[in-house]
Amino acid sequence: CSPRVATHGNMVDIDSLAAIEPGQSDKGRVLALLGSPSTESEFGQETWMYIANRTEQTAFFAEDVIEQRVIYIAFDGDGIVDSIGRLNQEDGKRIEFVNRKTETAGQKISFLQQLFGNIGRFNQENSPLGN
Amino acid sequence: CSSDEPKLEYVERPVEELYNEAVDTALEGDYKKAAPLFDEVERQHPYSVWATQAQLMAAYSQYQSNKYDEAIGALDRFIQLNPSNANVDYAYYLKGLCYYEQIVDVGRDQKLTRNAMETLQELVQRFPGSKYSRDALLKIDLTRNHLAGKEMEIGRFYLRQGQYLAAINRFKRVVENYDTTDQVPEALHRLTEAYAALGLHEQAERTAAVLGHNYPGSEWYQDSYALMTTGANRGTGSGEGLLGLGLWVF
Amino acid sequence: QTMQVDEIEVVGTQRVDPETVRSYMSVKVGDVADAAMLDRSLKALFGTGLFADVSIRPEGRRLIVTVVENPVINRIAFEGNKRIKDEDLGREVQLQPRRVFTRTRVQQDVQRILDVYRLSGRFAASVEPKVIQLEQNRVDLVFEIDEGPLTRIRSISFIGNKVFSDSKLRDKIQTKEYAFWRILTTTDTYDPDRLSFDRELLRRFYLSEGYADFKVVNAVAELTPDQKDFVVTFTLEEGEQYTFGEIDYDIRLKGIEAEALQPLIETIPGETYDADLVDDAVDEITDYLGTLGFAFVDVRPQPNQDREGRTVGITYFVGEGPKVFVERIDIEGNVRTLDRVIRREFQLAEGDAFNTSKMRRSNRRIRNLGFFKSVDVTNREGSQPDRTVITATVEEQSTGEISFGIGFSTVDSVIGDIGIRERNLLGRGQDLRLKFSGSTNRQQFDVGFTEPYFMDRDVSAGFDLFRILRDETDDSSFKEESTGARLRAGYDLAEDLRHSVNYLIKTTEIKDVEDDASRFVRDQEGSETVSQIGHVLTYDTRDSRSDPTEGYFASIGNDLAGLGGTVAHLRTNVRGAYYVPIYEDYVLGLIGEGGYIFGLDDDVGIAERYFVGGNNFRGFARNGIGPRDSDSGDALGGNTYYVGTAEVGFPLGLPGDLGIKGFVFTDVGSLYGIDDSGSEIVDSSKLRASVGTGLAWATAFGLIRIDVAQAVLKEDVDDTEIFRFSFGTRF
Repeated sequence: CSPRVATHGNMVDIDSLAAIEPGQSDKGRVLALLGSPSTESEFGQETWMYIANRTEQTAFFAEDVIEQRVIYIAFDGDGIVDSIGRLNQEDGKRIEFVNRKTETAGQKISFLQQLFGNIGRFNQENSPLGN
Repeated sequence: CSSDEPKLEYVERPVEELYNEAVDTALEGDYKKAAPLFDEVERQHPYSVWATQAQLMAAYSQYQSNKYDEAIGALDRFIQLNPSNANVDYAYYLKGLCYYEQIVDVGRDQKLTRNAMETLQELVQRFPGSKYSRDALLKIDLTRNHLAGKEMEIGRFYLRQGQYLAAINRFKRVVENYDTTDQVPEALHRLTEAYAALGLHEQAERTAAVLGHNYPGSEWYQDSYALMTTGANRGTGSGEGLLGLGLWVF
Repeated sequence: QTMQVDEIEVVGTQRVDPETVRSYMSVKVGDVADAAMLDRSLKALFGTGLFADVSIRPEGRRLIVTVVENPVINRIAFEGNKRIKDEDLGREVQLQPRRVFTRTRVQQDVQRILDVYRLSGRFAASVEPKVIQLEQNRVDLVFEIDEGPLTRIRSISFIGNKVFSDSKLRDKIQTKEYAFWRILTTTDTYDPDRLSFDRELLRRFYLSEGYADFKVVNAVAELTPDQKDFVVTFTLEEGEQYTFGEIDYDIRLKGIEAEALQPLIETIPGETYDADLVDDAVDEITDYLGTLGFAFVDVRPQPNQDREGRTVGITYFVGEGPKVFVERIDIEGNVRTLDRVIRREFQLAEGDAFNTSKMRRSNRRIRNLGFFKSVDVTNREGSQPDRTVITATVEEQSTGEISFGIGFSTVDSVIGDIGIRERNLLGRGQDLRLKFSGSTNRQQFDVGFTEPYFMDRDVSAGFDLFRILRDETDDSSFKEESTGARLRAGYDLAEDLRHSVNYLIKTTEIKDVEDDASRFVRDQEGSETVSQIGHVLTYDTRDSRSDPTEGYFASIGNDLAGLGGTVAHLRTNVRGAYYVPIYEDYVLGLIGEGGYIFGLDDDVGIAERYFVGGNNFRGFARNGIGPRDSDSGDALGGNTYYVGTAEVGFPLGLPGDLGIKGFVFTDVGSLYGIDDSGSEIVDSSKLRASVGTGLAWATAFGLIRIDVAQAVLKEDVDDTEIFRFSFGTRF
């Protein structure tokens, strides 16, 4: 049975990456070659990140990542490329995320209200013409 | 075509009598009956001094009987007709409450939360001195916190799915657009988790440092600290626990 | 010239507060006003809709603002409306009691009322607004309505259609001719929008049948002389039927060869031209390139028509598409369904490369949830040129169902069921079902719960609790009561291949055995527990589950009992079906099923054996065939069975949407093999067969099915039955 292959994120192609020289290329050059970054760093030295992965999923198994391409480009004060880094899935870490979440309010639907509440009575006030 | 006057089945009554009956019904707490009575005052005597007050009382009665849409309609009309009335700040405030009390949990459409926030913000901008503005400001913060909660819910969804890029951008939206809410500590920790999962350790360290600097006492910082020093969240081994089974079925 | 404004005097206000008038004006006390500012104030005051007339007159250093207030509506009444009630019209019009009355709003409301009548098929309706002045500048508003006759479609005819019959084309379009039995439909009235949609439906139909030059010259609806109904006439130019000409590729992507794309497409030279196949080909190529990592592809078919040779060659242009990424996916309108239940159906995640066919497929997947009245997935430019924001707007519909069914069948006499079901429990996409179904000899109560994405994976898991009472007294002189639970999980292995596993635990009691029952039944009295694991592998390409006309179905399942419990057996069930249209609407169906149960450490009890006859083998009564105790006449069930059906379904020449189909069929099969042994057991593995004909009518109230079948090959102990009728309704 054929696995389902999916590509997510911005799979930057390696040749255009090679065309970027630290110390020379500026933001404009990077934009022209790779397009706008998937995400940018929030704090500290300004860094552009291009993140992508390709996954395979068969039957009931979870998706497993067959390729993960993470590229980060750090810029110096005047917007010139300072350093380039490339990571793949081995560099990543398998983390079990914290299960807690910060509480929020808002009415939940109660079981009975939902089961009996809306049999055939849901948007009852829309007119034949629709609003 | 019909020549005679359309039959009037309602009785024209003097305005004071109508108004007092409506007020008494409201005071007895029977708001469902009071609302139409206030409407009657405005309909039969639109130009009397009571009409304006009746409009506001009608809206209040509908609000009390949880008929929010009707109340909002009546309040909009009151605001359009009497923009400079002494009680118009109360009209804005009541309209904000009508939306505020219908806010649903973060998993669902937050249109009502946005409406509540916009109406209360309009109140605070137009009438900073109004006695309702203090409570409005408090409620605005709660609605903003609620909207941040929705962004977090979507971020956590992508995190669980292993779509770290999507998760990072959602948590960044919380840090950028909702920086005064109480969701920010968790957003920063989730960013640390996502960056670490991708192997971007420098970004992870910087984010954890910002979390520690701004929210030193927060539980989330203890998680980030543990993640950065031991490589795993507090109290978690690696691999998915059986707890997941129960969580999802119910 | 300008003037210094020291004071603004407001004249003529009654209800509106003078302060309100001043607040809407752009000129304020103390300003230096010029003509333009005055004009702007004038327009602002008119804009509020509160005033019928406004004039501003400078007098020295004072501005005199004279206003005439629009009256307030006291009451609104509708007269002359029989078909549509006052409340419905009241909801449609914008003017309400206590609102301000303006000329423009009255005209708008007249139009809205006419629209409501047009929608319910009354085009000749007319509306006359009457205004009655009251004191204190109030008015009563009366809409005098003349509804006019119901403009129904008396007949639909086609000119120029040589290849397909009028009735065939009528089935393809939405507008229907008026007919007494079309009670529940509203499409038998004239509606110009629906007519133009019909032109599109006809065009798509002909294009999929190879008529590349097809044109609807015009579609005209004329009133009949008596002005009561419409006659609709479509004038067509069918043109010639085309076949696919030469197929080639214009590929601009590096590393992609034509041979790689060849097997994906079904537009084969020589085959009849079909526009749908071309669209499918574009999707197939886009998906294939997507899996190779080409996120941004632009695949466009370029047809070149050869009129003499009557062929349509296709050149598939495959080039680089614009590089656009998904900035954000916003989901709106989900007032009840949780965000993640919709988001997990998306084929795109935020940050992914944008691609229209993935967006289309996400739309289809969300629609297939069945939770929404409408699903609309659109995208607009994001914060940067190479970014796009996708918005999915849904409109919820009630997913709760209270179902109540009643039916009659000669096999089970009166049958009925009542159930309550929620397909989107608490907005979490989970399905909960409570159902009680019963007939004279079988009552069943079950509860079912399913989570479609168990552990966030593409696995649908759930459990069922059930309690079944079977009264087999007349055929086999015993009653059976079983209570149990089943845990199940299912997942897709490939496109049409699905696998599911389950664990079943139940206790079954054979009781109230008649005194004169067969001794084999008597010694089964008592209870047993079955603890069984099982799985089913299913392959299904049928075009529809309820009324298949094309495609295969095959499933194989095994159950292993014996891990605990008092019973140990291995059971195998197989089912298969093949449907193919043999001539226009005639459909041949070859259907087969079989089962074999094998006791592992002791005999297979009666509760686990197969019973055949009645519903699953026409021409034979319930439990009509299979091993039987010749003394007591009790049917004992068997360990092995197979039943095959060859059936041809055909329309009875009546309009398609009447839903009546005729059948000619033959059932063959047998039931045999039993672990007990004794001289009085009659057990023959000979083939039984029956031939018959039947009728199925899917009415608005339920499915009526009549079958007449004559057993032609039978054993003398078998129970046969000629006539079977069943009527089941759900509402």
